[in-house]
Amino acid sequence: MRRVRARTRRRFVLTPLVDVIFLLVIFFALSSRIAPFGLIPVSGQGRAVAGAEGSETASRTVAPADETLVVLRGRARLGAQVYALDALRPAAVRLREGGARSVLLLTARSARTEDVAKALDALRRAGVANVRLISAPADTAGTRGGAGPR
Amino acid sequence: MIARRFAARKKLRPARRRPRTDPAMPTINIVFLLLLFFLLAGTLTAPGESEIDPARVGADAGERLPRPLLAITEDGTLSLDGRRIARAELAKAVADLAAPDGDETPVLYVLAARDLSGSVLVQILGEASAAGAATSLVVLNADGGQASP
Repeated sequence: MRRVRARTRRRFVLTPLVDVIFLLVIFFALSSRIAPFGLIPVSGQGRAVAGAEGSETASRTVAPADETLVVLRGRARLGAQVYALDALRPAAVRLREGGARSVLLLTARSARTEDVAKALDALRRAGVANVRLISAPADTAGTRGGAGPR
Repeated sequence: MIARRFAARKKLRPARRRPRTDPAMPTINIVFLLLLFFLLAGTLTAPGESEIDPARVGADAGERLPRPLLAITEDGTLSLDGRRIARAELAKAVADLAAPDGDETPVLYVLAARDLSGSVLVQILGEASAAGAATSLVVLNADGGQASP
């Protein structure tokens, strides 16, 4: 005679699931970065081209450009005018409207990455398509083309 | 009439007691929401990368931290996707990024500390370009995520 087993209803145990999810949350909270990143293309077709004047890999000759922008710490010099980097964009727009197609961006020794990024961003937003990025060699900085980076 | 109603009521089954929901369920729901938030909004970073404070400009936001990522600290220390590399190894590391068929130019994303010397940045970008990579500078939106016009 077959004995009919009473079906015992198992209860769904949530604790291991919760443990794993907590571990996942801790992992993502510690290892991820939530920040509004943006990208500035620095080299490629029709974009800014980086060249390290004075480095072993780059050529020492620099092709002429329509304008030279010297980036200093917090400022930029365009010809005889000195602009705060936050106010560079209108000047870059005037530059483009004046017919300048290519800009040589020369970083001074005092310039930081943030200054370079701000200058590149201002030129990009002003629609200056051809920007070449160079840094003056340490020994000749301040003598190239009459623009004295400080 | 009343007696009939009473008799009909007697036939009704007793109300079944609903099983009580687990009191931990609200907590689990919140933890699930947190998990979804970090999965969707976060970008995984290597330990060294999260210490770098990139330049803040009014760039269009919305990009996640892309790969391959060359991180440059304030003192010029390089790490490619979390692996520290010497400056002399940069050209080889960039060459290794190229696809085997060599058709597409590899893009190297550069996350540089905002206080890094501009000259050092330009030199590193130049070396990466000379090694055959297109480069893109990773910046942080100064407006806190709002794309400036």
